[in-house]
Amino acid sequence: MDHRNQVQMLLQIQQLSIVATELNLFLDTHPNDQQALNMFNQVHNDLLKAVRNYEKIYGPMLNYGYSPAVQNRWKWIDSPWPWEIKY
Amino acid sequence: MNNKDDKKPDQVKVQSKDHKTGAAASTGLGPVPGQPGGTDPHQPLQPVDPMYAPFDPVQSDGLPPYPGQPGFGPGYQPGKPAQPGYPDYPVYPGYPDQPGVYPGMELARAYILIQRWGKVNTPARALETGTLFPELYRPYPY
Amino acid sequence: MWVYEKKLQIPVRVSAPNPKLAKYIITQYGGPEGELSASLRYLNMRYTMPTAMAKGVLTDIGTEELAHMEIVATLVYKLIEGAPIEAIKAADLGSHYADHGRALYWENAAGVPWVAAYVSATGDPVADLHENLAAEQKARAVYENLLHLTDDPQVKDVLRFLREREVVHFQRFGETLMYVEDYMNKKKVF
Repeated sequence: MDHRNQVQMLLQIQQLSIVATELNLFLDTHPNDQQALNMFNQVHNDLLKAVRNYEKIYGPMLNYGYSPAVQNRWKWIDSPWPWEIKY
Repeated sequence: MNNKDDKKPDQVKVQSKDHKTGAAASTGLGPVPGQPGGTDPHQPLQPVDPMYAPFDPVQSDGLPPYPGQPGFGPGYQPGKPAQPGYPDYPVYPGYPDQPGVYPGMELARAYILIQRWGKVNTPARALETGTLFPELYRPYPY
Repeated sequence: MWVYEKKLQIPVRVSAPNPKLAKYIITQYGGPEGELSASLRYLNMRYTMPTAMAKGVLTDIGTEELAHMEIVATLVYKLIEGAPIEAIKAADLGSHYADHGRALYWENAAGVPWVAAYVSATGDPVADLHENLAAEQKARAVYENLLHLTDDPQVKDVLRFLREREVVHFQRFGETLMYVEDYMNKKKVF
């Protein structure tokens, strides 16, 4: 099963997500750093845009109400699950 | 080599004659292990997004803990050479018979330097190396 | 409360199935310095930390360690996927197969199951943060051991990423320790 487009879109999300995670941890110990805060907000917007684009094709990325159910089927349960994807 | 001039204006500048040489990775608290420098095989191949600073090979900025860093008492004066554990550590004025006393610092506790904001990697480079911050990249080439 | 994000933190590839390597790598799933130990340790300690910073750092790093556990599980899953029974027995995974089939399980490289004794919580914030610093160093060291044990470049990429994350976590716990020590010193003034 060809996952190439999915892998490509996920890679962009993974890159933005690691930046967001790193900024999250940095801000935890530097809560007043304005430069980090600004970059965090920019990455937040980029990440959400990328995630919503991905979800339009591949279904929800987050459970428990944080992602919309975009098609007429509950795609959350569909394969491939993360450990099954052929990167 | 010494990239203090690149520092953003809101960063603390500490002048000390120990740091003009800048050859060894001197933070004033002893050698910092594992700081890579020099050429790096992962040069970016395309122009980087101007939102993120370009990736440089990692260099120590040579600055010691900043005054008032949590954990260091007000008596700590950056710039006074203090190399705990190394044979040439100085005796401070006022403590002629107590070598090994470090103003603002206590025995029997650990000190970890607090990271300061600097250049960041691009998102692709961050995923590749495992960190957003080039100064935290400690590669293991095995 | 936890929300699940249906993606791995990084892409995980293996060059070829390799049950013998899976037996080594599973120690970072359920071994003493593995990601399960790390995540439970940090998530457990956060309830009684004195400062907001410590609670935030422990929550965030604990959550990230759960994500790393998923990465290690994916590595083991991909290394065993499709391997015939003979390969599994030859890799000394026959005992694991007898108890668990092809399912994953929390055990170390020798097959010893996870125990809560791998995790400590004294309730003293300074001691507990030192425990976390030590845990990050131990995890880094085990990833280095695993890097020695394989030539597979794609598996090595994953191990290097996880190792670098431990270095970063050490730095964050160190910074938290500095602030917590300051806080505890100020509190001593009665």
